[in-house]
Amino acid sequence: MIRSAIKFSGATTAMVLMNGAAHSAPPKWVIDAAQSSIAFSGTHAGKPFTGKFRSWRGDVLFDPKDLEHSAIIIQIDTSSAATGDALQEKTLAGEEWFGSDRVKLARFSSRSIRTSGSDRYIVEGVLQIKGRSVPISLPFNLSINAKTANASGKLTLDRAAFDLGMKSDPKANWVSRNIVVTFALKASR
Amino acid sequence: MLHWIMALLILAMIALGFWMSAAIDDPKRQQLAFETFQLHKSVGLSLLILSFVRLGWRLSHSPPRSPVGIKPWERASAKLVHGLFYGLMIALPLSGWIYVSTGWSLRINGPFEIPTLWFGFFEWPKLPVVASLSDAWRASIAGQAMSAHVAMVWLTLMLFALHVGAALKHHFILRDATLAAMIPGLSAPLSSRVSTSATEELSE
Repeated sequence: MIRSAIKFSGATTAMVLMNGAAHSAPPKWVIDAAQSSIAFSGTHAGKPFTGKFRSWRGDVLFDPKDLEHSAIIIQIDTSSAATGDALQEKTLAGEEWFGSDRVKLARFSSRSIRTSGSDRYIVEGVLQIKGRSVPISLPFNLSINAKTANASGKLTLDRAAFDLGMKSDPKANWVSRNIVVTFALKASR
Repeated sequence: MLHWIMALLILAMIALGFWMSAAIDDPKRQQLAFETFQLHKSVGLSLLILSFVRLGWRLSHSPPRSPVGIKPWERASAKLVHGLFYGLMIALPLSGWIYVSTGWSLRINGPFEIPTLWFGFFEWPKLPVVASLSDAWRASIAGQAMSAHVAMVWLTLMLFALHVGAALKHHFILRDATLAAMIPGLSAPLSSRVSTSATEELSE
């Protein structure tokens, strides 16, 4: 709903992805946001919670036969985090969570992708939230059927690494340190 | 009517307050205690508003008449207790509001930023000056606000005992219409011992 208002660096992203493509680059995939999701979960006050990011975009160049030139960039509007609980959502918007981030963007950029089995891959990249960059090794499933693809995966993050909630709850008495991010993406080219 | 509703709510709030403060440290009850804290804040802030409504009503309407033959010391102590109740009804939630506005938790002796939502509908703002002070100031104010909050609870309970005791004394021992005037449908044990003199008002 507010995607247009968020400055996703589309132009820069495209340039980064196309860089070094002297020959034909891997095909660009368009992610169907309506059929995709990026969700997060943890526990709060002993009770599990799950939420979604309502606003994000992905730029993907992918060819299973040309992983060297494939690239994935996901940009998430962190102010779009929603759990269905007003208190949690207002807290996430607070200064010590996502509120103090001037750009309100979480960004994952891939560095390399390799295959690790049938329809399984591992992408190495960097996840940046609130100015903190953390190297990520993310296994994911990907099945390509002609011109459509389904990707899914799971990643466990330590919120301390991104300075989320570390002022009020550094010892994780309330919100779990580990936050599990799961994604299910449907794309077409 | 507001008298009874608020009295019940205040008693419930005192019970909840004691329970939640103990239960918050128990991992098995932490979740429920957390929800109770949020409820306590919502009800408390509502009581703050209602107290002003109540006070406004009291200042603009004449109270029930005092019983015939009321002694000066009885009139004075009633005035004192009722006056203190009005003060407590306002100061108790106010001290709670001050506490949450510091964004400081005495339990962990550290910052604790959690928004106050009124029954989950909208965010209740923090008190402006308090919220923007240094850590040291906020910690100090948090301590004083919570000490006052607890001290006032104990005062409320003592006054409640006096208040109820006096009401029962009027009804069962003096057998006048004091309590009957507060409870629709209740009649005085002895018929009309209420003063008809316009000058004799129950001092509050």
